[in-house]
Amino acid sequence: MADDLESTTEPCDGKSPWGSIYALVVLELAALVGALYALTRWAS
Amino acid sequence: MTTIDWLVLATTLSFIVAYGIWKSRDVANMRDYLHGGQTLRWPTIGLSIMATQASAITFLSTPGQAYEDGMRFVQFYFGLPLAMIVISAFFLPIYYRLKVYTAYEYLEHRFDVRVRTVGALLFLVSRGLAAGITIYAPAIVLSTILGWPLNLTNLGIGVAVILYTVLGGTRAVSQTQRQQMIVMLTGMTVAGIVVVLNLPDDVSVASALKLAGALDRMSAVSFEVDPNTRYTFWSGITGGFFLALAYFGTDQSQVQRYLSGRSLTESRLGLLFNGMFKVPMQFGILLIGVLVFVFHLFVQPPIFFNTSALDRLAASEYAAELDDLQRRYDVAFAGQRAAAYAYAAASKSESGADAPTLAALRASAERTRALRTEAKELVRRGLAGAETKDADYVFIGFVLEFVPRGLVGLLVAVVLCAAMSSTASELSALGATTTVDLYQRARRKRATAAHDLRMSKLFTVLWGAAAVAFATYASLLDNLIQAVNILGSLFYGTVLGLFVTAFFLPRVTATPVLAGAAVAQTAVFALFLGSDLGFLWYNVVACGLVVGVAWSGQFFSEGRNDR
Repeated sequence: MADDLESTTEPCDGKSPWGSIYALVVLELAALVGALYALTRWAS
Repeated sequence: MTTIDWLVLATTLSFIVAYGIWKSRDVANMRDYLHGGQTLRWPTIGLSIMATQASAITFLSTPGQAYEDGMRFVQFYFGLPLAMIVISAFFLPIYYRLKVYTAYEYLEHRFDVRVRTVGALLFLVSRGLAAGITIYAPAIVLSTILGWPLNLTNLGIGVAVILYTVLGGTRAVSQTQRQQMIVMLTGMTVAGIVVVLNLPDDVSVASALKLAGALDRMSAVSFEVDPNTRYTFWSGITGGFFLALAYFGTDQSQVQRYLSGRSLTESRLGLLFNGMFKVPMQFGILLIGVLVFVFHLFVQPPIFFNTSALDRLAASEYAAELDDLQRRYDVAFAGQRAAAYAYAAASKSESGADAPTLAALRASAERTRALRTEAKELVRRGLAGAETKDADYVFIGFVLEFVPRGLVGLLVAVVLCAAMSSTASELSALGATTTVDLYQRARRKRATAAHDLRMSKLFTVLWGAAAVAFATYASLLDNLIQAVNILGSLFYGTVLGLFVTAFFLPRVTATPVLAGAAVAQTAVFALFLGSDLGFLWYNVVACGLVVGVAWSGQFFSEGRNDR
């Protein structure tokens, strides 16, 4: 079962998807910081 | 609390505990007990990681902190998503490859048994003390506000957690945490809705946020460069990163959560789920605190939020002084309310509020703040040994006074769920580390699996009893959430330094890294006792010192050997 699950996230071309997933997390953080900064400026 | 609140509270808690025990009824060996048979999927792992970190302190202290200090605390979490990535990419594959029960086992694989023991002991000291605070924090607030006996509340939380942690092991902990996290998120959403509905009709959410901003409660992000300012973008992204890396990567109470995943992928996804949702969740909790602050610009709050202390003061020789203070506070509050209405009305106009309106609002807020400070001083003089910080009572006070019947029970359940969820992870991890890293390692003869399982359960019970005992004798600290984070920061940097050296400096051996740990721990204690440096920086300093001293020690010893 564990191997099946691993295979569902590893594409056939052998390229790991983790780089893209990590980039998504960083992008979300950047967007959150940007939104919070905008909120700070707007409310002050 | 009314009967319906008690019903909601009792039903919620007993269902969660019974569900956890039922879902983990087939614990047969150490693998089942400590790793939950490695069967968990990423949503359960993610919620379990979040529930472990979100203690009752999170729900009691964080809104109170926002009430007093605004949104800036959210920056503390900016480094967390980056730490999740580093743990997923570097720490997790190694833990999986070595099939470790605890993080500290890895230190013996990499260095020797001395380093493993130092890592385990640093964890046991810091987490053992924190477990006491985790139980004590909600107990003191709930007992003060609701009149529950303090020691009985400590004991009640402690016994319930010990029961399902010992019976069901880590799987029971994770399964209950999933339910507890759902209760917590639902409860806080309800609290947010209630506070918005309680704002005056002519004050919109946008006006409320403008009001909060005018009174310096909306500074969520600051790029100011000042190491003595506790929460800035820079301290969050660096100090917060190191603290999160240490806590999630090396603290067994978290490592045990994600090592119970059914695969590396599930564990990674669980960690990244936490990385993506933690900042929004903390923002939401802080926002509730800010909205409670705005609500109390229009509805007069008590001059001191610990109303039980106020009652005792009113019955003392200081009653006349308190009465006079209260009268002046009533007048000052009426002025502040008028100024707040004027500002809210002006901020709706196209040009926004003008400078005199803003100045009037700030001056009136300053007057009420000064009177609250006087009240704290009076509490200090009138009640020997009483805690003068009342931020932890802000949110629970709002809940009890303004939240509808039935929902109060749900929100008290949120606080107790949070207390139970983080305590369960802590006790489970303390038991595991004591068994695997100290007891098994020190014993010369091999024992049966059943014996190890029994000992693991026994150590969990003993740590639970120690935590309850510590909670019984603890006194309310400055601010509970900060107390826990400061306590963690005193030790985490050193532990992280051990792991960073292990992962990234392959030539360094055990003796230099132990020297580095000794130097780093001494330096952190010296900084804590003799400097104003923000505690988030302790993690950076200690980790840097361990790595620096270990590397230098190795370099010079190799140089000497070469000669």
